[in-house]
Amino acid sequence: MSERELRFRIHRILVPVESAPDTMAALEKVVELARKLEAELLGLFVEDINLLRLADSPYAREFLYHSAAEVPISRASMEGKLRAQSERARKTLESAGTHAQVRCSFRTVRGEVVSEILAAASQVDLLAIVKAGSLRQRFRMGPTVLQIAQSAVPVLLLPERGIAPGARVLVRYDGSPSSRQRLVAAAELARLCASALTVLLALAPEGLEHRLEMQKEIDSLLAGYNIDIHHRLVDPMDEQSVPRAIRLEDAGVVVLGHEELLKTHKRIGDLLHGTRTAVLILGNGVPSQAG
Amino acid sequence: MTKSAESRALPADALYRRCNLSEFQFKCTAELAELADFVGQERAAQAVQFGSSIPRQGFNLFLLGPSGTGKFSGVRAYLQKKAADEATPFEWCYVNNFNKPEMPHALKLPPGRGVLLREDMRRLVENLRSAIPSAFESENYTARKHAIEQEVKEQQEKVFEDIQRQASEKGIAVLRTPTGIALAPTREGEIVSPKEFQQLPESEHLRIQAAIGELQERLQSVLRQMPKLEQEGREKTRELNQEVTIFAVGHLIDELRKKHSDLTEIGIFLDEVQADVIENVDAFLATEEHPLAALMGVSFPDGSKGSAFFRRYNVNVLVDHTGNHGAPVVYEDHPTYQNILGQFEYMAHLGAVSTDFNLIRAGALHRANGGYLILDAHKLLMQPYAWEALKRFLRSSQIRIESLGQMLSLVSTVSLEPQPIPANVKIVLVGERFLYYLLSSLDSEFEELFKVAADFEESMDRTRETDLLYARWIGTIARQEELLPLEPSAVGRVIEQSSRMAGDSQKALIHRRKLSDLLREADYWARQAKQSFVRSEDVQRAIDAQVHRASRVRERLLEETVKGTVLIATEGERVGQVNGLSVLDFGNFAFGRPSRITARVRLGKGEVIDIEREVELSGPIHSKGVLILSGFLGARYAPDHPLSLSASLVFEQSYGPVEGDSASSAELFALLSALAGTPIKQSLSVTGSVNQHGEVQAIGGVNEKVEGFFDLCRAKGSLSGQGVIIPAANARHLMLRHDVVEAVAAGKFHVYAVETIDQGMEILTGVPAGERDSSGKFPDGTLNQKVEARLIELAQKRAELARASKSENTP
Repeated sequence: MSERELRFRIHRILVPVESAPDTMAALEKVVELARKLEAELLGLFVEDINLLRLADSPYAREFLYHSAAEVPISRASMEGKLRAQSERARKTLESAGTHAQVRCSFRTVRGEVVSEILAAASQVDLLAIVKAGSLRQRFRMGPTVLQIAQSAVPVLLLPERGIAPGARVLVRYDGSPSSRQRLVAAAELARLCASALTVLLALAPEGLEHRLEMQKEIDSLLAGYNIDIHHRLVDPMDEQSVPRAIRLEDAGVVVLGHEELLKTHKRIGDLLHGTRTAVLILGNGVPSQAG
Repeated sequence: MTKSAESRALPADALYRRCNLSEFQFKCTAELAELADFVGQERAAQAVQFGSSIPRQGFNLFLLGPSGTGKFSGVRAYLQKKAADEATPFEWCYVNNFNKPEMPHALKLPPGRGVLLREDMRRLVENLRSAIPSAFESENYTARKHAIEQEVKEQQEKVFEDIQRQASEKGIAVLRTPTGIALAPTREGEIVSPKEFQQLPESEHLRIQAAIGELQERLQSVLRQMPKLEQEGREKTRELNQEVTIFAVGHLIDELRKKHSDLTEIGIFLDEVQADVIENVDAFLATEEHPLAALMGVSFPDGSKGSAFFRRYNVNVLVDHTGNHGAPVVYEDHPTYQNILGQFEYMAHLGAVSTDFNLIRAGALHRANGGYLILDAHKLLMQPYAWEALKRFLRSSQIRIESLGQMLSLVSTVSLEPQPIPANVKIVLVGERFLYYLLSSLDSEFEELFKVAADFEESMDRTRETDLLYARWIGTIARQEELLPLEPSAVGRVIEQSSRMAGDSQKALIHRRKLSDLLREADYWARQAKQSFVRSEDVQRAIDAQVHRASRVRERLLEETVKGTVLIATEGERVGQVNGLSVLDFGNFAFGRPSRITARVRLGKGEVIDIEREVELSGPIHSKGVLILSGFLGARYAPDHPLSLSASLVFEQSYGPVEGDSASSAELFALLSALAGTPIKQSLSVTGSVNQHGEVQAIGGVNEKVEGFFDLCRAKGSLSGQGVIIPAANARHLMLRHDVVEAVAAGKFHVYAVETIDQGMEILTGVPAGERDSSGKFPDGTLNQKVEARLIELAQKRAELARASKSENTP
């Protein structure tokens, strides 16, 4: 694999949007990410089919969040509410895109939320999900995320409050081809964000003599990235080692692969719950320059 | 020269009082001890000493006198010397009032403590900005906060899960909508469509309806619990934050408390700071935006919680006495309202203007608190509202900063009302005399607030002692202004010139500015000549140069007189015509100007007509002098006859206003000459006022007048015995130029001092004046006899005319 092929390149980013105020603020940060990556941003609003079905039901009842008052529910009113949400999301995205001079497009689809997002994600290089509103529940570290991780589309799960300032980018490296890809992606992210990179060297105690060799390999792969790199040893057999490193390094972005996610998603999910750490999941492939 | 004239002529040495150089036992002024404070101002010095020392309200000082007499420099030097031995006053700072930011608190601190506290607070905030985030980022805090959030979420989720479970058991779905939560019937996990619903049996309809109705109540109950749960969670988080903040902040603030434990005010302030930090801990957690944060979704810091937020903990040291010893002596050169009372500035932020206690600026009163404030009265009164503001301060003894815009209701922006600062300032106003008298008469509060007047003299007596004192003063100025030292002869010449400037040979002018100017110019000429000392020649050259620069008008007038454009005779004799003398004053230069005064007499009703007065070119004092002439004539000559003349008097070729009575003797001489028909010598000129008894009285500008006629005579040809008649009372004022004195010594020019009109007439005409004999008559051939005879003649003619007129009118 040539260095050129290893380069982490994102041309199109899909961002599912809702119209909740907290997701609007976070959306602007995704636009900023697209600007830095010089990528096109595709906004997607999914009209939840279940809500429309619900509106058709004659005994359906809706109760407002802040007053618990019951309000009439109908298909027309539900469609109206969803259209209004969609319109607000579109305007926000376009406004943020224009301001940041990022090419943006926006579309609205109707269907089951996760399915529609995953379907749309197959057309892009990165799926960026701000974990706010209903997406917070839908994209918990669980089956949905694991399902995404199996696809070729990298997914960036952004915390609602954003990333803690000064936070590092953290990635596990074991010398495998997929870990090389993740290493390069993490380095690219660190460079873009002017952050330091922590590489977790996955070496069993009996293989510690390969540490220098591995470090040289990393240096060779990351030659040309002007970033601050730290190394930390982790035991590949210890499932706790990565969560522990995330906590100790106070990571801002954690780059994970499919296999790691399978092993650690529960622990990492608990660890990152409510924190300001983003997770970049690179499943079976990393978008390359050629891609 | 007649015998009478000879006896009245002053000798050359009476025309100029030389300085006795043998009294000067020094080689140059550098050897002389320096003089401080006030020179020749004993009365004023005592007043300043008293006024500056008495610790009573209202005993402020007003230094009055002409400008340039050393009031400013003298009082400043005196006060600085006095203040150096007095206690250094307290400092004042403004700090935030955390409860009412628009009303900042004033802190009174010992000298040097203000800056110390300011730096301590700056370091404290720096430490807090790192200590608080560290505390909040700690494992312990994160875990506890997470636990609280989890607890709330779990509670919320638990109640929802209960609902969902119950709903699920009853075949009902619970879904989140854009605006709330909805309940809908389900079948095999899918929401029942309307079509399917229609196909359900009635009993199922009723069951669903009942189930939804039951769930609805529970759901509403749960929704109503949510805010309460969240509120409880927030309250717990707040308590946790407080606990963590107190832990992070407490020891840092305690250190300051310990350091400043001697000052209760600082302790109270630190308590307030601690409470505010706890209340606003979020501000310490908002950090500068990191590139990664910007990229990934950290919100921008709230404006109020950014760096500007921490200004609230600053200490604004209004007055810093660090390193100062003694009380302050402040001179405010530009005494505007703001410069005296202080002000608060505004700063623009995002198009709006705002202010806070950090923008409070000290005024002169703040700086002078505990000491002395010197102000120029004229400048103060010229500044709008400054005088009233100063009086308000003196009445209340508090410095209350108010913006002018606010005071006049011109602006309505958010403003400040800083806590007034109690102050003890001795105010020293310096100004011209007329200002003092105007304020005394027009401002009822003035005398209450400025009880001590220090009246400055313009000159001092010349004695042996004062000449030596003056020499020391000259030496002091030369030293202060880095001028070359003066030789004794130069000192003598300066003292003589100071007498000339004072217009009195017995006095020396104590006008610092004029003296300094003369010394600077003399120094210039001495340096031009590459000398190490200033000599008398340099002083003389400086005087000559000053005169030359200012004498353009004088020379033009002389030129026109010599050419005959202006008619003034300096030879021969004329009846009813005399040379009078006036002074033209251009402020920095004055010179004497001879004028021809003529008188014509005829039969009339006893009027002496002043033509200047008739055409309104005469000032009131001049008119008074002319009216006195009628009184003199009527009382002295032919007292038994009505005054039956009509005389006209005029300043020939005078085209401007005439003021003063110094020409009244000359006018009387012209009138008497016209009445007696006796000619007056045109080689003489006259100055002096006259009273109704015929006594000649002193006038001003005698030196300039004598020199004016001397210059004219010399310009018109060689001097040949011309002279000037002056009042005897003015003889002591003579400090004539050297060339005049030399001409008098050579007998080419004369200065006569007369006491009466008779003495003057004898010199002017060469005819005895004459005195009444035992029969009450003037001797024949005398001037007075001729005058009286003419007046009797006029009276008789008038009586005849009256009789003739009466007989013609009798039927």
